[in-house]
Amino acid sequence: MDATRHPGQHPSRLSAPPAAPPRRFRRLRGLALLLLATAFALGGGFLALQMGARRAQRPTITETVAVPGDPKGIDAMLAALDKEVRALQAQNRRLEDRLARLRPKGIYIVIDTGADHLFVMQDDKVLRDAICSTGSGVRLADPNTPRSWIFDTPRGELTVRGKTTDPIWVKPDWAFIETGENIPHGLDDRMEEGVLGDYALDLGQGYLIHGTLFERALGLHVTHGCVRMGAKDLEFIFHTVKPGTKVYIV
Amino acid sequence: MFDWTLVKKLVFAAALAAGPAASAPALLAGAESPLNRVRALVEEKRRLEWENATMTKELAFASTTAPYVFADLRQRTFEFRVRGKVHKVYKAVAIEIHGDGDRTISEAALHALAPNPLDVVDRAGGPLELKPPPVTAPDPNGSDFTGPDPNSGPVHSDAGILGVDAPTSYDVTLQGGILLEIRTALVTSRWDRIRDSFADAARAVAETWREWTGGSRPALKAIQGAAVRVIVDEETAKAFYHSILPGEHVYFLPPPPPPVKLVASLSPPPAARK
Repeated sequence: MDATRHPGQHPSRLSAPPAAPPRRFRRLRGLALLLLATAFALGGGFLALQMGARRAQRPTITETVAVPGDPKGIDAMLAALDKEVRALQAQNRRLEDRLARLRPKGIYIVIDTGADHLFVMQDDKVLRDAICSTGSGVRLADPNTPRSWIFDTPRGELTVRGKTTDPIWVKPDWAFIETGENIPHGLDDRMEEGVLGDYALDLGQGYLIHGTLFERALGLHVTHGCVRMGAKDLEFIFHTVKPGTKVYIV
Repeated sequence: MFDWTLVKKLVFAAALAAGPAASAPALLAGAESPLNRVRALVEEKRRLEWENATMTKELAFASTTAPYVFADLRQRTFEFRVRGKVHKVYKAVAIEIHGDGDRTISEAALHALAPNPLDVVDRAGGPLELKPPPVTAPDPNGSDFTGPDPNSGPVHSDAGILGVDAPTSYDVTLQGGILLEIRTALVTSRWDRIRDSFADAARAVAETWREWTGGSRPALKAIQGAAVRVIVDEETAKAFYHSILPGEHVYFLPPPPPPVKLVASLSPPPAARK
């Protein structure tokens, strides 16, 4: 009988050290740990990215405002803020009124040079939406002098200065240079009838709203800066607007 | 007998009269804690100041006959205005802001870079192309064609025959080294976007860390130039080309005021000082 053995003790636990797990099992355990660590790293990275993305969507900048620590100070601050807000509201109302006074009213024309459309407006209502042609944006240089022209339609607020029926085109220098002709000296050689349609509205600085012989080119950027219209639309515009009417070209 | 109905009516009428008389700030503040009221009022004040600055700027433009463009990068809109009225709006599909080395920069960095408004200096993007009229145009030999044969004369830019087509990929140069790059497709590669998103995430993590540890915000790096890349469809690109001319003012709408964070003041309030 073994004297060192305690009652109930298993003989194998006493006699031999615990057996090391087999190599195969150790390898599996290592692999599992590696997989776990990788999963943790990937999950953490994913979470950080998500947090970052969410944070990037939020405004990251905040404005810090110091608030007094006692209730009296807060009340004083509230009263001051209330006063400032009221003053700003009144100031903004005045600014809005001033802007409103500048906005077009009554009958006016809007020309969209991007879409080549002309709108006859009455306040915010569209009376006529017409297709037109505006400036080509092409540059023309005079081969004999340093002069050059860019055929853009002018922008901003213009005014209808006058209206004419059966307008005659007084051809400017560029019209001759463009076609390779000599520039005439006399006014008679510059006159050309029947090319501007039945009506013309003068916008100043040589720019007109007029008709065209080539209605099929309406909607294209083909002009030297004038605004060309179809005959029916031109007639409507001619009879609707008066000298002094504002024209907004954008 | 005392008439309670009359009293109720009077109280109701008084409440109705008092309602509109209550000021907007008071309504904004509501019946919340004083600190919430302070925050609401400070935010309202900042918003009104922002509106005030924008309207003051617009009033200066609207007082002249020249057109101006309001560019709102967050809404991706370009509003063409004259005399305080929006006459047309172009909306972009996407807008990217790039700084030196084509790296994405924030809107705040763009605003810090140049004065506002910026004038259009140049508009370039290849030669204008001649474009034949659409096939749906009236047949020159048909009965609906009333004019002379447009093909009989010499063909030049304004023979009324050929239209001028605008490019769809071009640059609008603004003052202060700012470029408006008008494009019809995203030119940033997938890898660039991944790199930028990683950089954004890293910045956000750093920002959070700074907030937790109370660290200071690093100063913005000086940027030499910036490009606002505007992605639009083909038709919009062409229309925008014809709409924007050298000399026009482009006003980049500043970002709205940030949220307010309240901190307790360490110094005693002015009334308590002796």
